[in-house]
Amino acid sequence: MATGSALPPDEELVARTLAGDQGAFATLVRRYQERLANFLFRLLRDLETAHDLAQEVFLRVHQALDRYDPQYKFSTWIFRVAHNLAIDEIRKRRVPMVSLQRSDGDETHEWELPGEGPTPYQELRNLERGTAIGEAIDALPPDYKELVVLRHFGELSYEEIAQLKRMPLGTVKNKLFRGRQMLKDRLADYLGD
Amino acid sequence: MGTERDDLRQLLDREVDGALDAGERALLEQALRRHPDLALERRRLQRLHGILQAERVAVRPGFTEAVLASLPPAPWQARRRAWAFPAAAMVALAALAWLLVGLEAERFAGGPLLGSLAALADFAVAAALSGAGLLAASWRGVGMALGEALSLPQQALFAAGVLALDLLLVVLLRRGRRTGAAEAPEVARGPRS
Repeated sequence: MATGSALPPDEELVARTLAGDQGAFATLVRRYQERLANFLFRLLRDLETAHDLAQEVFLRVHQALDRYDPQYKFSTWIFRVAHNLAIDEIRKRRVPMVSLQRSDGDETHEWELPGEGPTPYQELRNLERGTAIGEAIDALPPDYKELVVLRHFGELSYEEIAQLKRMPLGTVKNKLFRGRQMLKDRLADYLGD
Repeated sequence: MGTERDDLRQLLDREVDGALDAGERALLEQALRRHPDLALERRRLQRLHGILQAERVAVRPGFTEAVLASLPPAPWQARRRAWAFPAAAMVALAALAWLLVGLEAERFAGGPLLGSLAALADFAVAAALSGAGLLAASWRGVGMALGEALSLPQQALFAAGVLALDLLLVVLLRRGRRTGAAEAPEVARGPRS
């Protein structure tokens, strides 16, 4: 997650790009592409759209590169662009955010969700696990979900998340802790001894 | 006890996430010796991190190249290109001037650098003097022409008419420009829906 000391920092790569070195921007793309694609994929649940939006993020960032303020982290800036695009996409598609629980009188039941893959005859445990993880992440309350996704799939540090979400650092730590506790409970079957 | 245990679980959560400083790590190690049951929690958290990491998706092949190929010229690049030719021309002219003046300065006793500066100063003085001379001659010429024109009554009348028409034209042009400037923001906002 941390950038190695031998690698040029993001801010230097931005300055070099603005000076005409397109190779520097290619380095930025390689540095962030996987993190952005994973972040967007976990929020949108569609790999194709995640890739398309990641491409759009790079395009927008490149267009506005001269307006980047180096007093803020580049990672925070690029993830904010990605976050805003994801929000727009979710609004456009109106992805339904439904609870996985339903009440039936006094009892509460879990909905049986139809999987997107070959569900009835799923035999591979890793595929099952992948579905379970996706569902567990989707079932988190939205603000917890986003922090977990930013941390584990966007690979942002606690400080970067705090800056991006304009939250106190303590709140970020606390929400991540609670989010992971919820995940741990939901995924208990896959975490046993 | 409950609060202490909660604090320890939070520390454990951040330890597995690689976000503890040295002091916190030492505190946690002590606590783990006091509460061996926390080791199970630690293992579960480590597994949770492991399965989240395993769920990361790879970026589709050729993504970097596709991003770089799709980038249109950014506004800041266009601005840089617009300045490139005049800047290059200025540099070339400056180099040429330096060369010419430098060759002349070879003959100056104080060395090439002082000679160049002296020659540049001479050049500036000569340019100022010739400019002033031209200006004085122009005004003298205008004065003579006016004197000649106003020496006869019909010609004086004709000259006054031309001057009045000129003034009227200037006033009309200024008014037109002011009206255009007032309408410009409306245009900039784009067509009304």
